[in-house]
Amino acid sequence: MRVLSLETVEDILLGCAVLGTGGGGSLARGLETVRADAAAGKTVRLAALDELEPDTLVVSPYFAGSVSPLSPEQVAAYRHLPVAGESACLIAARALAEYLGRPVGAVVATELGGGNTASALSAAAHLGVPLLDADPAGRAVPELIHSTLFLAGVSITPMAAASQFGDVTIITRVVDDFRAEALVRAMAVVSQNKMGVADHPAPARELRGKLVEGSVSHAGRIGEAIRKARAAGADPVEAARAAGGGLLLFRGTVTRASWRDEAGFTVGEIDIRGTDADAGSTYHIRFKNEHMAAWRDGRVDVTVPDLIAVLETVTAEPVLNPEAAPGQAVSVLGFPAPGHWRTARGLSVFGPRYAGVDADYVPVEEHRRAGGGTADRAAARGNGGPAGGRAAGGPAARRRG
Amino acid sequence: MRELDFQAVRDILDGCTTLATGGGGDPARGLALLEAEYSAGRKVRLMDLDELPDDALTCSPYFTGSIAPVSPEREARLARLPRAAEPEAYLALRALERHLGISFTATVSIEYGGMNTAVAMATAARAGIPVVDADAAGRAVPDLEFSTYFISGLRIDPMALATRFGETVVLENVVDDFRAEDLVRSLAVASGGMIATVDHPAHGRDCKAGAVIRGALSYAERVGRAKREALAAGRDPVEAAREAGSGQLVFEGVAERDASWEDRGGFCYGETHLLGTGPFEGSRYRIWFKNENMVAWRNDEVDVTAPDLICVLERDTGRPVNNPWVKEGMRVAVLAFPAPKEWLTPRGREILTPRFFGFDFDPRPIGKRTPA
Repeated sequence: MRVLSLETVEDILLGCAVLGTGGGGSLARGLETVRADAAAGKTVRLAALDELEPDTLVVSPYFAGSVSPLSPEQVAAYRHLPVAGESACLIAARALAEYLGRPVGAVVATELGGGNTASALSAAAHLGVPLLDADPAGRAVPELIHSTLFLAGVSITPMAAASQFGDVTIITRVVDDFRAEALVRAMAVVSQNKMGVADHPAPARELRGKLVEGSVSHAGRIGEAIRKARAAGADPVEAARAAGGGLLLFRGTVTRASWRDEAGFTVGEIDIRGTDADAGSTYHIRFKNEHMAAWRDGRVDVTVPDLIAVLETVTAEPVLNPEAAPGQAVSVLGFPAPGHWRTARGLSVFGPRYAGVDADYVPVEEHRRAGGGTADRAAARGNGGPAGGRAAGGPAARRRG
Repeated sequence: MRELDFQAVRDILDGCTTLATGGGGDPARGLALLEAEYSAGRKVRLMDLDELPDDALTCSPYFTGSIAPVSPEREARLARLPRAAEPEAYLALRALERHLGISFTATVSIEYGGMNTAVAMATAARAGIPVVDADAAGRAVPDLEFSTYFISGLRIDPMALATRFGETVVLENVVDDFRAEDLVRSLAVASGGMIATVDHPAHGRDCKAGAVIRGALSYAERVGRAKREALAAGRDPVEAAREAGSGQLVFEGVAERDASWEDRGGFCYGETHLLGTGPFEGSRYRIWFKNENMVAWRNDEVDVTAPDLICVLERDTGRPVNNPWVKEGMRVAVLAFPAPKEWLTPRGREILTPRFFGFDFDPRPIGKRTPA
């Protein structure tokens, strides 16, 4: 268990935004949240799952909803309502603890993302409990069902959802996780498109083997590497790639970017024209909140569950969807998905077909054409970080020296 | 306390439908819920309000719905889900009991209606508790906040909901009844259009102090029974209902055309137009509704307004006509009944009035005029 400095928290969020693959919420707002907490004297401890007492109640707080702008009618309808004094996530976490009749002992992020991991960090800080060095995705994911807790059959209920006006709902029974998501989204539609949620309450002992462990410190190492490379005038994209055990997939200039709101998801495409070693090639990325699949010169290059991260080439600042714009110089990194996603069950809910690619899954490290990044491939395989699979080794194995 | 035979249950439901001012749900569905309980040997017991201990807890089970159509995609997604093994309202009642760590002593009907009064009775029978001889509206109403609970400042929450798939949700700390309504309707839409709701957990002392309308179910029963007996004896069921409910016959006529209506935000808005017959020959009558009848004009002059009850019945059978099903050529009678006195309190006057629905005039209580 260690107390995180603000610098470390910011590193973690930057790394989470890289692993957020275009989604996972706004890094800028996430940073605002954790800075405000730090200014208020709140600190967060990071704890490995093994460090918790077996009976510790762990919950996942997060925000659910849509980024779609509100209509003037909606703005008018919400204007008279009071705004709760604390975040809806925190209200939900407290309501769930009250419903269960015991205190929350630790918080686990629902995914890695600049905004969503910040929500968990902030909830942990305000509840005065540690954040788990783990999460149920090892990346950002578009839907509630894309969770290792879902794959492992950990019940999503009882769960609490709170609006920013302070209304609380406790979903005590639900047919399945899909229905849980439908109910929360329905309430978000009448709640400024945003609900704070706390779900998957479980004692620590029940979570063993069911989370991507070490993922938060893994993100922290990526963020730290970027920060240090920026300060040292080194290549921050290369630093992120090396720290995350990934591959450089493409480098170029954005030529076209488009998106639309589709049933609450941000759906769109990015086209990139190659520069440097990729001159003469094109790259095409499709996203549904997160990047789903990428094509190099018209051929499938990488698909979920592997990670497709788009960074600004000069600064390694992660590009959040749908903010890519023509003329932007970007680099695309690929990171292997955590082992949980590479199982048959994992691929059945979050594989190429979910991304709309009618082909079997080929791991990112096996995708590269011969001779095109041998060193990268070795890096990906040799790295036992969360991206390489939880079973591959403990935190020590994740450091590459 | 009185155990009701099925005839009494039918009379109450028919009275509630007659007094439901065009809304309140489908009495056939309501009756089916009660038939299921009676055929399983469970009976409805009607408890006098004064029999309710001060510290006993009551609640109101009913259905919240939206007539907004469910999209085919959502319908397909919902079709694969398992159905609840027990009635949804009963599941919601048990969920609220578990959440509060208490047992309810009785249920209270949330509004008059062929469906919702039946839900209060059937859920009570299922749970082995009585239904109180009371109602929280004394008519049918379009919005959750139109209740005597609201008038007396009683909170709607904690409340519990259950879907037809057996899912349960508890709501608490809602900002106000309007927020509760928005959240519940959104969950109803996501669950196929209807959701069972159990709300307003209330103490006996509050119910007795005016949070609910005393004797409301036996009043409805008298109206229903009077109609039934009149029909059996070959007398006029409309006049029998009027007399039993102390109402006024305000119009008789023929529907000029089908009621015109539209769905706005899940509510059914529209108008009924009548041409007078018999003593009303040469007059016209127009009724505006939002789910329920709210304002009526005779020859373009305001005649009856909410909160008073405007009830359209088939002229010969006395059968109540739900909105928006008045059809061209239908022969109907319009009865007006005075609103329960709770609606005439200062707070009651503020909410259920023509002004709430966008009209620029105050209520014209029928109790203050000589019958037509």
